[in-house]
Amino acid sequence: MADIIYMNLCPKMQSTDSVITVEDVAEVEGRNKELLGKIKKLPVYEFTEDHTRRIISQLKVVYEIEKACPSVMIVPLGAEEVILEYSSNPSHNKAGEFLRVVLVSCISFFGPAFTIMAFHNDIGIRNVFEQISALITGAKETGVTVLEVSYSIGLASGIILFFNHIGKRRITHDPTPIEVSMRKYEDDVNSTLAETWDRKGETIDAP
Amino acid sequence: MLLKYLFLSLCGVSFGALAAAGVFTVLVAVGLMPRFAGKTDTAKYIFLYENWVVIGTIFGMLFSIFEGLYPYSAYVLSPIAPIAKCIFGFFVGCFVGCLALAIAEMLDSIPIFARRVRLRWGIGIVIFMVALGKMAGGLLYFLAHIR
Repeated sequence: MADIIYMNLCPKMQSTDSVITVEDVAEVEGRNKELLGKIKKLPVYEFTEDHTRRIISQLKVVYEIEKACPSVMIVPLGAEEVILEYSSNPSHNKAGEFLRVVLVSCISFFGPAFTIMAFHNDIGIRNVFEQISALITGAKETGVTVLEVSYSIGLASGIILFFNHIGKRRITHDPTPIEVSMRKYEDDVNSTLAETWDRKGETIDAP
Repeated sequence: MLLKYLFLSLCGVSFGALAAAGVFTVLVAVGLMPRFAGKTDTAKYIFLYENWVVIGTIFGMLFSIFEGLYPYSAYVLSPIAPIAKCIFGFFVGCFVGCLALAIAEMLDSIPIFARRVRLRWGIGIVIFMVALGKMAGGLLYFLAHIR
């Protein structure tokens, strides 16, 4: 009976080594440990240029394994393509990164500040507050009232609850909404890359 | 009277919480922060960015609700007024520009339009023209005092 090898392809990987082996792109599991060791070290692709990106199909990995070990039966799981990024020395430009963090921090500070001010202006919040004050207390009150203060407290606690953390401390164990959308965005980018390359016929496939 | 104020503050807290949820659901739904973080390769700082969003909102809220704060802010900022205006204007502009296009993109308007007119190449030029048009529109609005 053929040895069954389960292969879980990961959707994306970055490498500093130009030769990509099966171990780099997939997790493999099976009964025959000796065979597994051999499969893990099989080369799948070799980069010739630095700082490049290639997309390798599942079929290519299966083809390489079967070529070396004809007697195995491979059960592919996981992604259909793997996005490989190769750069021999990934640049860790600390100053550049710091600048980018500052830039995004500034945008994410001033942007929402402006948004909430524009929103308050848009709905004419002072008028609304005056009306509600008059509705409840019967007297026309302007300036700082209980309503303004409690609204501020409510808004602050609302956004903190919404974003699910104060500083670095999480309120619940769930990921924050931006972490969720970050993950979704990455998935979208990966699948777009894979599909675009596939359509252009540049995915590295089994011959 | 105390009961009325109690009721009023209860109203205030719930208005605030719901307004926050409403405004920020839109912000998160258009996915601006992930893009900024993705484009600049700084995804690991996402917590920091979220904190800035929270702090920015609280500041914006304080200054739009409590007019009494203006003398204090003016005291700090008026000596550096041109620089402060530049910084505020630039970053707010970045944010609003991205937000506007992100909303347009969320509604798939650009891909649909490109498909209708059978646009095969030149998406980059189209986007650049959209940006130029936005800038021209913005300038025209402020310079020509369109109301």
